Amino acid sequence: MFYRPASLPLCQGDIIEQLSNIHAKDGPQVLRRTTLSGGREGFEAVKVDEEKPGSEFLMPAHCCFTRSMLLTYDCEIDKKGAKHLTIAMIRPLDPSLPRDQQEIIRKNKKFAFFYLPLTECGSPESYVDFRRITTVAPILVNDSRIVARLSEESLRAILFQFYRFMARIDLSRAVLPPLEQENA
Amino acid sequence: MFECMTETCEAISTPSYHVTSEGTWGARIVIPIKGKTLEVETIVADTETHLSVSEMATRLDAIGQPTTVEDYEVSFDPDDYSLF
Repeated sequence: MFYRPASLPLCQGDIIEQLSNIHAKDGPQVLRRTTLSGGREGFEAVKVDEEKPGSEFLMPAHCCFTRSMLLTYDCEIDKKGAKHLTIAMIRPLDPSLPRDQQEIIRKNKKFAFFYLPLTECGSPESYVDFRRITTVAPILVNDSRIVARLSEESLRAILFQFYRFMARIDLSRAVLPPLEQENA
Repeated sequence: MFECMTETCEAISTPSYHVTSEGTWGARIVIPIKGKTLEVETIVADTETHLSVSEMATRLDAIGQPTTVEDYEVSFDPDDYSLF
């Protein structure tokens, strides 16, 4: 079973309907509150070097408001006062993709992706894109709908795929003993 | 490698993990004893977290995921396709 029933509280491996996936593409600019013409409240962009290094500020960034997977470990989600949750963008597996490309994703042969089959509620095939990871505040996740929840086995699989994406480890060579050694 | 803890056992190999016939996770350990080998199969407790990498490898293999390092490239740009 790839998925398990989903309900609150949130769990690692939850597929969340709509969250902000940020992608900083341009050099930083600081957004400051200001009064625009006509007395309207708004923001103006100023150079970032006016800010102290290491300080937090508002800045314009590209954002995809779309389906995402919660990657934060369960106990981190449950901690009182938690301020940061880690999410990864989920993309539909477009049927117009070449068939061989679809198979690469379905078989998890592209380490940057993790394949998600059709859900029981009819959500189409999709995949997690580990290249698109964002930090969000818990309140944003709590207010969104849970589409599905990975089973324990699937959760292990996605964590391994993420580990493999980062580490490029070859399990068959790096960890398991050679057959001749094992049979000696 | 596991350290030998008995007088008769000379060495114990690194266990290899696999799915047992009962569908649970098992570890096969080869124990050389005085020139002979003894294969021991044990059921691995299903710890919910903190799996060893070799355990993960076997579990992944059982559900059809590759355990090798070959990373395939894709010839499309995901950003060219629509999102949910």
